Amino acid sequence: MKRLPLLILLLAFALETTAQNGKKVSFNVRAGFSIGAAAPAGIPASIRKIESYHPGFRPSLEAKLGYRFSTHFGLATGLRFEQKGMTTEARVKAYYTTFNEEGANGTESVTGYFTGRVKTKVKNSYLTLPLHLTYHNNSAFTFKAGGFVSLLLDNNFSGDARDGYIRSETPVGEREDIDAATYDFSENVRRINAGVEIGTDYRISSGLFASANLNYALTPLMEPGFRSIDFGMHNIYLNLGIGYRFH
Amino acid sequence: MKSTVLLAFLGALLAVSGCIKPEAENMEADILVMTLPDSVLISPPSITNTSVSAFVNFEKLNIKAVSPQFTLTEGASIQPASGTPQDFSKPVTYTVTSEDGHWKKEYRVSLLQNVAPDNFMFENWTVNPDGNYYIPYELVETEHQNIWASGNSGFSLIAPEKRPEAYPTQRSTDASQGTYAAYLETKSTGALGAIVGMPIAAGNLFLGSFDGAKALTAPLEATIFGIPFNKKPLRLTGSYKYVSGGAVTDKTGKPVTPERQDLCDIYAVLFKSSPEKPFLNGANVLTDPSVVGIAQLASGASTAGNGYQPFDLTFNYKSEVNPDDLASFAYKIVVVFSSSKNAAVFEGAVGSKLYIDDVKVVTQ
Repeated sequence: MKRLPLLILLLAFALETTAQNGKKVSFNVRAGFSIGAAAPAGIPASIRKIESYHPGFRPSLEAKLGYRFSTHFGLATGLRFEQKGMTTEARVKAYYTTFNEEGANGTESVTGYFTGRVKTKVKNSYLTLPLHLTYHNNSAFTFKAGGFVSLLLDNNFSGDARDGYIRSETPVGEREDIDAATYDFSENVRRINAGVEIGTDYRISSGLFASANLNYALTPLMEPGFRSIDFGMHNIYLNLGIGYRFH
Repeated sequence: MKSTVLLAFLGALLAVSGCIKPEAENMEADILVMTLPDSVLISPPSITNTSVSAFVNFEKLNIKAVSPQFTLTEGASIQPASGTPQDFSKPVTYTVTSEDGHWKKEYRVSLLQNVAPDNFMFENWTVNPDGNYYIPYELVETEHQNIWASGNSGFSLIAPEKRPEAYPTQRSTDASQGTYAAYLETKSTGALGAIVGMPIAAGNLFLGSFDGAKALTAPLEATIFGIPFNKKPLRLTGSYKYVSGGAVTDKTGKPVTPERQDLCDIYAVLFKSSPEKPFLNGANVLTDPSVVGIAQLASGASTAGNGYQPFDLTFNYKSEVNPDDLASFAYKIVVVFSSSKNAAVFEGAVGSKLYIDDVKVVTQ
């Protein structure tokens, strides 16, 4: 990651020359932050109440190339380093999960139906390649729609369960009270995350612009075959930022 | 500004995710309480995940037509229906169905009309369906009495392995009489046990029941001690063999200082139960004011040689036993065996092995 600023600088110099001819090509850098969640497509019935939600500070940094192929339309792509995450606390009833711990004999776990409170901490870092179709009119706004592919750089999906009990294996299994138990599914976060993205840039001055992007991952957050949480989760994030357009 | 954006976004998120759904119907199917007329019960029923048993005064009921009432998980139903007369000459199987109808659990409900025996040969063993572990039972005039309990159900949850031989409390064919003896071995509970500050589980066996739900949060209270007893015990006798696992480790898994060798524990307690305190537990069994007499092994060190050695422990009485109260089952007895003496506070040595056989409570 240390090479990213250098790369941006090189790109900027390279473009300085090419972009002179007709201003079809543009280059911008943008810094921002993401708020959102790794959310199920519908809140499952086992989640009774969301007691707290903290998006945390999830920064992003992007370098992007744009190419205008007609008066109104263009294409844009780039590289983005971003974090996606949140911390939530929820009250759950018969929530299927696994508590696990790394031990001398590998990971040991208890699986079953938990009733109580669950805290979930997600913080994943991605290197993202976006590809957008851009629409330009005479206003200060530029509209973008397209997709993205992300490569997981750093993964954290963990949490704890408190003040409740678990039924071992099935809802009629042995009951065990739980004061506090931890889980860590970081290793089950998928390496690749891909989805769709829409957004807009608002030109503040000739160089400066503000932007908002909404992205939704079509691929599930977790690996195929992951059963320790019995509903699928998808990244859905809003990214807000400030950028500078070189041409 | 930021909070407005945040709220707007959360709203959008909820629109995508949908709102909190109506509460689903219960999936659990528990018997929470079994009720019988007070005059019939000698002691409160003990309820595990799949069994209910209670000592009843057989002079006050017709065992062929008893109608226990059951309180269940909200919305669950039971067959045969609560309050209908059943023949309890043998245990009766009840099936509880969850509110959502998808989950069923069978309970074996026993009303014990005979007084518990005073000699224990550990010949009869059954495998508990919940955790696949052995537990001894007693036969009194063909009545199957599940009066012994162990911490195995707590172990079943955190231990990765589910073979009967992997549990701390099991049976052995190395017996001093008959085919089997009780065999207790202190085991490691693995990584999960370690994170909850319970790195070891001693083999234990006692008269009473085990509240598996409390195994991780209040382990001393999980061992519920005592069965009704109507004779005055004088001595506890039997055969045992003990191989200490060596140096004791504490609840963090580190050796205690000064170093000491693991010991076993064998004791019996007679106590006077009350409606407020029908049972004792691991925290108060030797110290509670209701205790009237204790018989305890003086030294739990390893026994010499390979064979069994006898033990003969005298009950020391702190207060008089009232004969009328004794006759009306106001007293309870508990006999406890443990392969690590301080296992209640998770001190012990993995590999300590205690064999127990041919136990008698010699009464007046």
